[in-house]
Amino acid sequence: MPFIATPPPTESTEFGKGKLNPQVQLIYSISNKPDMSNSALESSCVFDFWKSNLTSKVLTDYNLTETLVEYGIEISDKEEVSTFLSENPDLIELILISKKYISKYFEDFKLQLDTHQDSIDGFQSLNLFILNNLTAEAALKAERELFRGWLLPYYAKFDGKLNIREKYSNAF
Amino acid sequence: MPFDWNRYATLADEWKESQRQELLRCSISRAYYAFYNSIRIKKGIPTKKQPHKIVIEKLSENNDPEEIELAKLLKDLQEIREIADYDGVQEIDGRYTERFFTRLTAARELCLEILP
Repeated sequence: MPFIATPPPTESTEFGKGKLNPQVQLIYSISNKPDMSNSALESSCVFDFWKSNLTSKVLTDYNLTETLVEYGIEISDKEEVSTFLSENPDLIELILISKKYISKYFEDFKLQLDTHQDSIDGFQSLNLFILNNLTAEAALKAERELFRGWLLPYYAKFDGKLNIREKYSNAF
Repeated sequence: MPFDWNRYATLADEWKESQRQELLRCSISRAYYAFYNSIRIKKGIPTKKQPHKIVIEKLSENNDPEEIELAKLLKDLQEIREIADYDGVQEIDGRYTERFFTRLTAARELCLEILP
């Protein structure tokens, strides 16, 4: 299918309302990702649009936070988490696979996602809290084993943008 | 003569068993700053722009797993401290304080091992 360079759509599209904009459908119909080797594509406004907007818009469209909730993750502020994940889509897969690894170190737990913005530096990150009722020592031991046994390379790769930390909860 | 940041740690130890929430909050805050400043000084970082972020980045830059873990623990402590300093809704009780100090002790031990 030939590539058709068209102006990027405006923000008044149906994104986020359960309906993909036809232009996005067109891009998706070409391929899941525009071909980087195609210089015409690279220089086109549609490619710029894809890079900057498509990921977040499609995620919003597919209601990512609802998917995470269905997956058993509590979310304190869905809008903030959704915005953060749309800006950092590489973290989504990590969050989705985390439960499997956390269950190796924690027996009874719930998961809770929350954004955090540093009050001094303004650095924003995402916290995945492991809610548990273990003693402070046992919970920290399990969390550190999880970090050393699984999370560490990802924590470094994403510059600490996703942190996993235990947190006491009496909801057990 | 430079200020001895361990004096903050001494105050924190005096207050951490208190039943008064304001003292528990102060205890967490002072203990954090005593620890943070000790690492900052060991790493030779001045108190200029974004010092917390720079200290955490400095610990992570060598890709040393233990330093990255220390960076993570420091960031955790910073976030827990921020709640004690700024969040008036969250109750800071003995359990919250105990979890902070358990993490701080682990971070101090790791710090002694890798940044003697």
